[in-house]
Amino acid sequence: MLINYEFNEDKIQSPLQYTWSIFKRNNIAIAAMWVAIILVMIVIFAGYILPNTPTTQVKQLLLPPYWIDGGVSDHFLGTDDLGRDTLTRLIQGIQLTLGGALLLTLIVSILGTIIGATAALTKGLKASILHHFLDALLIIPTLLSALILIAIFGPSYENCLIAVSLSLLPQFIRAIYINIENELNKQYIIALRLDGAANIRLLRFGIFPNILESMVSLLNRIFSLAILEISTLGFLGFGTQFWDVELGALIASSIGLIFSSPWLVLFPGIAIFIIVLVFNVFTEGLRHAVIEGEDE
Amino acid sequence: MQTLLNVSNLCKNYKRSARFLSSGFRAPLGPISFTLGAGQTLSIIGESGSGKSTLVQIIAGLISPSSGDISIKGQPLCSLSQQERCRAIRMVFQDPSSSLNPKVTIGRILTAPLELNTDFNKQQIKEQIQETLALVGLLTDYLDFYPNMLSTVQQHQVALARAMILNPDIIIADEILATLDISLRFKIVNLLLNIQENKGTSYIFVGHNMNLVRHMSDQVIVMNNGLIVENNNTAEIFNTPQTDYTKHLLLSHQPDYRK
Amino acid sequence: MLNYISRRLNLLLINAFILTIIAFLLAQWSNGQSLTDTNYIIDYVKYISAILQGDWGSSIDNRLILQQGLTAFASTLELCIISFITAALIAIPLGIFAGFYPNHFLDYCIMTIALIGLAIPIFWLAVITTMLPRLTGITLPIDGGISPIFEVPVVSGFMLIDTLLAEDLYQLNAFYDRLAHLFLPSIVLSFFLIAEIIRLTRRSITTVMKSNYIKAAYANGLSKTRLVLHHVLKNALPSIIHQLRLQLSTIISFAMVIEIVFSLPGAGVWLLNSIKEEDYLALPAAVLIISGFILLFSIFIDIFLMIISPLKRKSLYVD
Repeated sequence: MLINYEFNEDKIQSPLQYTWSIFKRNNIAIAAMWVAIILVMIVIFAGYILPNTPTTQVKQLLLPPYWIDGGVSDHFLGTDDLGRDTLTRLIQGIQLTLGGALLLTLIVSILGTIIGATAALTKGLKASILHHFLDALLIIPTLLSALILIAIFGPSYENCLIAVSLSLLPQFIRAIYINIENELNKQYIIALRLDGAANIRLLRFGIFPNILESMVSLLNRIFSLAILEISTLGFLGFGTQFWDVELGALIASSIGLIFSSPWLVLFPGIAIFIIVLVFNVFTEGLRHAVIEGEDE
Repeated sequence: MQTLLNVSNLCKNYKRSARFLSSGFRAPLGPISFTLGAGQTLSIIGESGSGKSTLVQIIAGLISPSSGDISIKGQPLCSLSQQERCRAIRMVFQDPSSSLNPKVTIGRILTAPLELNTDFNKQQIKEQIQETLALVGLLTDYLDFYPNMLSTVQQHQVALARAMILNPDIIIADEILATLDISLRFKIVNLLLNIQENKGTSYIFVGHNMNLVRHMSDQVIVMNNGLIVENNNTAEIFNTPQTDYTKHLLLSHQPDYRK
Repeated sequence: MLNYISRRLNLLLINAFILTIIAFLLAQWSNGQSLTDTNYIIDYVKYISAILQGDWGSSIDNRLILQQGLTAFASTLELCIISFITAALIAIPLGIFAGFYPNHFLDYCIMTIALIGLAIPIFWLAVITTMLPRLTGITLPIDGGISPIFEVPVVSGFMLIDTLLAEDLYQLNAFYDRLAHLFLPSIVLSFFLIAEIIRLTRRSITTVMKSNYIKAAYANGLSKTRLVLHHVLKNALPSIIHQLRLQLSTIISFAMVIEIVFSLPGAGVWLLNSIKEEDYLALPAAVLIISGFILLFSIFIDIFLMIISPLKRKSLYVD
């Protein structure tokens, strides 16, 4: 037998398992992954873990956080100008912003992959038209296109998500398109074609395993942009309305209180920062593991 | 000798499209006609850019010809289904490290053509793979390996196994020996000759090394500017080349120590 | 060369055509006309000829949209340019260092700064920065583009140049005042830009450092400074510029958000106010002005890159 069990390697690892074993060595990335998982858990179970109901108003207005003089343990992060619990509103904000961004990334990636792959596999006029159309859409700044879509649909949380996804979709399609196009010229894809493989099989076994690294960083990019844009639109007042408050809107609503109660502005910003940071570190670790796995 | 492959008046024209976004101009190919007998080896030689690769890619089905007919065992190639075509002609690429998908096991690489082109059940697929691996001289243990775990020669063997697994009539090999070390090259050459002896497969080679071409082939086609300059059996080409082009080509490939 | 430029111009025309269609549809929508009962090809031709003659319509408060949009966008551009120059001066040396000594302690520090810069929401950073003058006691203006006491005539739209031109009115006071107003916004924008440029520079430099010609240069006994100046930078810069060109629309987006926070008159404030007043004619104008600028600028950069980089020049001959 070629593979004998006297050596440590008793089993041949698939590229995925190998990538994972490299990834596991990266402590920071592992920590980021756990924080990311916790954040996603918060999004899913936000309804069960809210310390107070978001609309409850108490008499104590503008309480500082618990660890600062004057803070009370009932309101861990203090209260806002209407006596609402900051932690509760923060968790709700995370749910709306992060949840929206995750949903949006999922939808954009599925739609973008379908359109991009179809375009890359069809040749000729249709692909050419799509190419130029995407080119033109890409030079419209995302904020501008989001504003245009908001102006057309009217401001609301759902429309904000739609606007952001539509403004990010061209980027995703374009990146996927270029990746697949590059991959199609590789010899192993041509060989698979000569085996008689149809397009679906070509994508599944030939192309996608090999563009994993760029997919990971692309998804990360789209996700970060989604978070920042959703909160930017919220901040500008085009996102959530009334009581459902997403992180950007939370900042905007407390901007006037920045000197009397700065934490109302600080906490949502830090929350956005941590979300983007954690997902970035996680995917960057993943990407490095994929690259390292390919090098060896 | 039975005629296996018949190519007649094959042409490929690249028209410079009138649109602004044209992808450039390439030299046309053809018209080209030749025949290949069963169990024979045909070598195509010529300087780079002479259309050798285009020709074999047309035969392999990667590029569609502008005009002309290719028929195999008397049947025109265009009348065959994709599956029949795959079973008739297989191609081996120049560099196995780029023609074997790095993310897929050898087992999967070898299973794919069987799944796509035959009605074999799992057991038959397994047997066919074992038989083919034995033919190219590999152990079945390698099935769980990924291509980058193998040495270059083993990768060549796998690439050859992928071509042989459907028992094709013709194997097209596009300069497959160029990347190999001289001692390893002979291992593959002997392997190829063994396979031909056992299975009666025909080969179409694109070659650079004149000594190998002379060693392996029965028939040689010399190409220049997309046209056939000379088409004759090997001994004739090497001993009494008819055109200056062929003479120069042969001369340029004489190693110094022969002088 | 001519062939290359003509192909670029051709691309420009196609993209410009699609942009005008988008702008046209937006204009139709904001005028409240439905497309079904009118002949929209004729409408489109009419629209384009009006645009070409400079008749872009006027806003609700009867100001000409073209002038308004151009002035606003010039202000945004001013912010972008100042931030970009600051960021490039700081970030490129840092990026080179990080790429030159990968896995060095300082490399980690630099990359951490870069990561933080990319993860921080820009509008939040702007809001926090508005607190700075109060907290530190330094007097710096945090809103408006220029103090209302100065009435600077609009000549070029770039207010820094305009204030210099109006020197006879206020000496250089107006110029300094404008600079002070731009100070904090450009710091915020350049924070993002620094992070982005560091990242791009480092990636590009590490790719170049891996290549064999750098090893050959090392073997030739070149000193490190000469190596950086003659070999690394020359090969790394084109790809950095190319990547930054792709980021241009993001940079302009961020600049607009920062303007809104600092109420700095510019494209961001202009668009926001127009949308809030439901004066939607500003939207097609913004598409034409901003995207048109990005389009022209990209093609300019493409041609520039082709001139400075032999690798890109290859595309002249290929097809």
